[in-house]
Amino acid sequence: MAIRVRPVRLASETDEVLKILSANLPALPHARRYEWLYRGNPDGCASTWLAYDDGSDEAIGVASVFPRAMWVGGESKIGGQVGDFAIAPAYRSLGPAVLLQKATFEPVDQEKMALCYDCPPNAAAMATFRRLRCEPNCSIERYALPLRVDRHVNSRVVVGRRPLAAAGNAGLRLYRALAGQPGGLEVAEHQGRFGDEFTELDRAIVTTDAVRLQRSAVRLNWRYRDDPLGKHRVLTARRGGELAAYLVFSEADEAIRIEDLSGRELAKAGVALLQTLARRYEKSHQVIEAYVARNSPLSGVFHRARFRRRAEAASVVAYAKKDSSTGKFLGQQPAWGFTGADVQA
Amino acid sequence: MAHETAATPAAVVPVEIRDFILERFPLARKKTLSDTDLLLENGILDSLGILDLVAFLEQRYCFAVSDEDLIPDHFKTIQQISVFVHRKVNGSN
Repeated sequence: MAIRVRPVRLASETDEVLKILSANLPALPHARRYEWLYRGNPDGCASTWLAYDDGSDEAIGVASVFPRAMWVGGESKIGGQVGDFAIAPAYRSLGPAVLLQKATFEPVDQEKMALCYDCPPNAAAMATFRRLRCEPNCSIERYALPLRVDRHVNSRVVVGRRPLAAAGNAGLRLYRALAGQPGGLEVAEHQGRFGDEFTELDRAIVTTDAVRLQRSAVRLNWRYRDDPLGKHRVLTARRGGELAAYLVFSEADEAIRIEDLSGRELAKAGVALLQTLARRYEKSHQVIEAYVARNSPLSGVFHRARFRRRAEAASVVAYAKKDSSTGKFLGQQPAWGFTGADVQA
Repeated sequence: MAHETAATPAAVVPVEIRDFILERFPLARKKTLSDTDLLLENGILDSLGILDLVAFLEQRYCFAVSDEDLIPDHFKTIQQISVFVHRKVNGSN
């Protein structure tokens, strides 16, 4: 037996890619997201590889790199996020995964991309990188701000639930209020598409010490307004009418999930956005959760808004040519300005 | 401590491999594990498990496992792992 990996022609081999994805990542609605994710991305079409057992025409594995416009040390670069990585159960002997992972490095080795990165969510998913001797560049952490205690009370207490929950909820409101209220900012929901002011804001806050995705209006519209899988809502914070920061979130049954938080003077504007979000949902939802890179300046904003770190949710493992400017920059262990949106492929 | 790799009797290898799998992977302990049970397809070994198993094999039997060696044929069952170990130890693979 030998394993063979080959690149896919997206235009003509959609069915084969969908088949292996559906069989091995069944939780995702691949058919609904395929055109948007693989071919509609404003940063470029996905690069996809299939793995075969040489004795068969049946694909046994798949992996993709989705292009991402990034800021790397203050310079605009094209990077790629590895995603939709799947191997059929009978082939999870590490070798096929290692071959596919090496294939995802090709755009970097061929200098079509400055770097690529993957976000393995657990130790099992890190196995391939351990084999390839790739160390995580940073970790993504889950933060949570409890809004209500009803769920906890109902699951633990039999008698006197209502007064206990009311007291607990009041305590949580007081705890959140201790963060103080930044003044001089107008916070409102942003309806419609993202405009040029978002692109200008993204350019204005570029720093030379971090790695993060670009947030142009074109990308934000694709990511949040054109997403075929879910509805995303946006809050903006403005000072004198000028956009200072924004927050993107989505609603689930009991939780509000923050997908992005970006802007200037985040110590004030970010906290104001987070507080507004908490006030809006403190009667209807149990918790607000967010995913933030450990060494990101954003983690301080969440702490200030009374969020607390809960657990490590994923690692970020990046690959760049060691002698390239990107490789040298990553070697300096820069901050990764990653949020939940940057981790999801 | 050096191991008696080449001298390890053929019958001992599958026993040692089974002991290692039973000790490390809880799913393997749920039922009697035979030498022909499918380890990958039944989820007894995953990628991380293979990594641990490979580290054990390399250390215990003193050979190196290449990326090309990490194919399902070598890790499907305890029996096939044992055959793989013998090939590597005897230099025939």
